[in-house]
Amino acid sequence: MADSIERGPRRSTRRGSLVVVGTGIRLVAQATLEAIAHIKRAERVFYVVDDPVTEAWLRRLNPTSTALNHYYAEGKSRDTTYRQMATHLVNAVRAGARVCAAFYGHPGVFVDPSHEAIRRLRRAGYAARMLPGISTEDCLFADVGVDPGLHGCQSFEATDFLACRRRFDPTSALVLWQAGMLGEPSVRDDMQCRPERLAVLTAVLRRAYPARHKIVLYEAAQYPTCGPIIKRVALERLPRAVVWPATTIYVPPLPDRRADPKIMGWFDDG
Amino acid sequence: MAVRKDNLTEFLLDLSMDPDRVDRFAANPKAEAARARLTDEERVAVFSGDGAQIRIRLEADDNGQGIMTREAPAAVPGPAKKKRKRNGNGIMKKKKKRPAPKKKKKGSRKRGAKK
Repeated sequence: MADSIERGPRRSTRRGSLVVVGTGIRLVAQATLEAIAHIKRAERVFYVVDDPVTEAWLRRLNPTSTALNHYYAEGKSRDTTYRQMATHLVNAVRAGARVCAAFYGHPGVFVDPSHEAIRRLRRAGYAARMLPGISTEDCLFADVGVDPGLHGCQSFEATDFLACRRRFDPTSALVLWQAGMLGEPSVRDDMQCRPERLAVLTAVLRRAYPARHKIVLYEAAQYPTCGPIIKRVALERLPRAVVWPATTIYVPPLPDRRADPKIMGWFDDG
Repeated sequence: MAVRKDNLTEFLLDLSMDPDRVDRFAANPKAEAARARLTDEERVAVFSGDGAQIRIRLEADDNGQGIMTREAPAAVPGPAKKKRKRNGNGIMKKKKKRPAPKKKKKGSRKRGAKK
């Protein structure tokens, strides 16, 4: 079978389209120029953001801006919520509108409805695409001073990391998202990760890292008057740490293994 | 006198888009807060440097509602159904005219797959 090259979505003659954009983590400052242009020119804007400032900004950019947050409800499964959000977007496009959907952070990272809406619309022959945005991990690289190109970087959702016994290389950086929500179906006010669950995570990490290996508990700054939270703790102390739902754990890499001389020799080949 | 409830929102929006103002705030937070006409509660939240406190204040300014507890917007209309032409013989009608296969009585494969 011949290799295939994908060059993005095919042009569609059907009326109605979807562009999914991200508003970034730090209020509105991390939205890209391209995202802002699409928000402005859309006939309908739908958004899922978690602060009223971004909401006010979106409504200023485009008065049609409408929240989809009402699909969240206590006790309701996330799958149902996400499916309903995706259906909302799909219906607006199928009604013939040029739709822009804005999600906080990166619109394709931990955002099911954006991917689902795009898949469904493309299958139905509509133009649908996603623009990249700034995620928590991007903020972490900048704030903590990590270059993922140096040792590589492995990124897992914390519960998935434990549940699926993900294999990882401790000589490469490790990022665990949503560490404060280990095994939690939804976020509650003042929620913290349960110490006994953090102890399980610590035990798994201890198989690969020494007890005194310093890890970073990180929270990106959301407001311009606040700085990021970067708390360095020894791995053995993790079960006693306060870990909020928005906390990301960064585990720095152990020293590199000896490089393969055969591969390194490639540099001398000229 | 009507009190503007959006001072904090406007202030944070300005700061987000104006690095000079961020510098001025860092140098003299009280002066910038006064210039923005923030209330005492808003000043406490902003000076704390704590995102959680700012969030609580923003929600309080928003009639105590969190952004996740808003009412549903008007429903988006679904796609308009196209009228089928071809002398009124739509796809569904054609299917009805076909003789039903024996297996259909027990449930088609498609139905089975959905379950």
